[in-house]
Amino acid sequence: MIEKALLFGEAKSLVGVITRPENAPSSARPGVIILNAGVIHRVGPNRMHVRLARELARHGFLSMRFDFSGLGDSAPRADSAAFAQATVKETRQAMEVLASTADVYSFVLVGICSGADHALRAAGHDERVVGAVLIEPYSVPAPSFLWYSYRHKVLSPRSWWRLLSGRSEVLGTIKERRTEMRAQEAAPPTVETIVPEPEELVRQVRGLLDRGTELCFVYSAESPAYFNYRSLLQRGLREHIAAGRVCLRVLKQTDHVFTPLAAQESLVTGIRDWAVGVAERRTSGVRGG
Amino acid sequence: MKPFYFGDSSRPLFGIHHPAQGPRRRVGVVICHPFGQEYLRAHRSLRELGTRLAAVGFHTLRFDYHGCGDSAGEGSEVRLEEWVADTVAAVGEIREVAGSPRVALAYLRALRAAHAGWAIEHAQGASSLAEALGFPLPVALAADLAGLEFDRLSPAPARRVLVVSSDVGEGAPLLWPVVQADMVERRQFPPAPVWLHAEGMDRALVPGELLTSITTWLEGVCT
Repeated sequence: MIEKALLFGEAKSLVGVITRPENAPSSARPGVIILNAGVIHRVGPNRMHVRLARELARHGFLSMRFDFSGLGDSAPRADSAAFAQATVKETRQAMEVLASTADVYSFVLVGICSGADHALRAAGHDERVVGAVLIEPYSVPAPSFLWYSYRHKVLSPRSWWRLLSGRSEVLGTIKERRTEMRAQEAAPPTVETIVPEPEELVRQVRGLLDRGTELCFVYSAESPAYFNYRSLLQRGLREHIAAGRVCLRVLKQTDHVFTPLAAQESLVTGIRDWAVGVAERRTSGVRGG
Repeated sequence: MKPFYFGDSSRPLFGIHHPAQGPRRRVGVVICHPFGQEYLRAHRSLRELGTRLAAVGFHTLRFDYHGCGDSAGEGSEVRLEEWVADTVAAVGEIREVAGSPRVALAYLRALRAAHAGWAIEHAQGASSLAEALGFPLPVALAADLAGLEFDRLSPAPARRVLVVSSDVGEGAPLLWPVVQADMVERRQFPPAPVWLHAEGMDRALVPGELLTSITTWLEGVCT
């Protein structure tokens, strides 16, 4: 496994690290691009992006992790393009870098949290993307989520006591959600926003599947993101899961950023196995089989 | 700014060089990234510190210890002795770039006595590896940190030392008690949410006043 640091992009201001296998990567293996999770720089939450890149290299994958402009070590942009548009452009620039480094003609995008959002959007803009790993994507603050997230507390006398004595965080959370929703209504998005409407999310996912792109969804069992999956995507994806075009992994006893080391290990090995499967299916000409 | 790998090719270290801007000072600065969660939360601030130091003429190198960040190695196998060797390697790099033997070092928490106590507490009961907020904490490393004896550091680790702290009362002021007082300057800032609290993870915040304080102090002592 060999790693190389580089600057790329139009202004050579984006910082990335390429991880390559010991032997030349096979062109049958898609290149893997790992995107920023929130404002955490390219090493990822709990350094998981580094572990993932190295594990993938041990299985023949060339990968690159990098910082979007204005995040991590990359310099801010001088233009006024929306961040969501810039992430698509910069992800594609990273793909160009990998393509020029080795015989890589197809790509898998990996992202945690907002990184998953960026991966989904960029995949929709580039047909070279044959797979995407969407880890804890989109958390739409639907009112029904409040009921879902507090369902365990309904039967707890202590929770009721905290609510009645004014010490519960529930009221504050509801108030915050209302304020957020009002702000969103007052300023409807005029450009492509980072978090799409639920209908747009479903449309993006369906568009990729229709195109033959394989998707791997990974969730923490108790997260708002998994609630979104169950309420927005589950029904429409059953047939794709059965056909092997969509992989769903739900990890228990963890959190949004996979803090326990055992969860990190499951996440990394799970993505590795899925990526190997994608590569093998493409080699054999069987998509999602 | 230039990212690169340096040091022993069997265990390369990741570094970012911020080239000096304007009139160059004949002192290089090495910023030693912390490890674990503190590394993630402090990254943007230390990048900003590197940028500010370069803007006032210091060649500056930020680097990741072995087993941390983009450097080679696993977090489960790190030892303090290796990190000291890594720091020596980074000093060698910046000396070459700056063309001067004079170097200033900037650390965040990693070698603090208070941190050492925290580490050994978390490693208690583990056979070889404990977990610390999403990162491996080798028992051997915790023991290394616990074994640090700052009060026996004599002579001073450098001719001039600035200790910046957000602790109230005890903590950082306990460091280097034997060092001559006129060599150690202590500055205290209110706790910045960027270091510890949840809101610091949601925004790319940096403690601007604190970074300015460090930059101007180095300008003053490294003429």
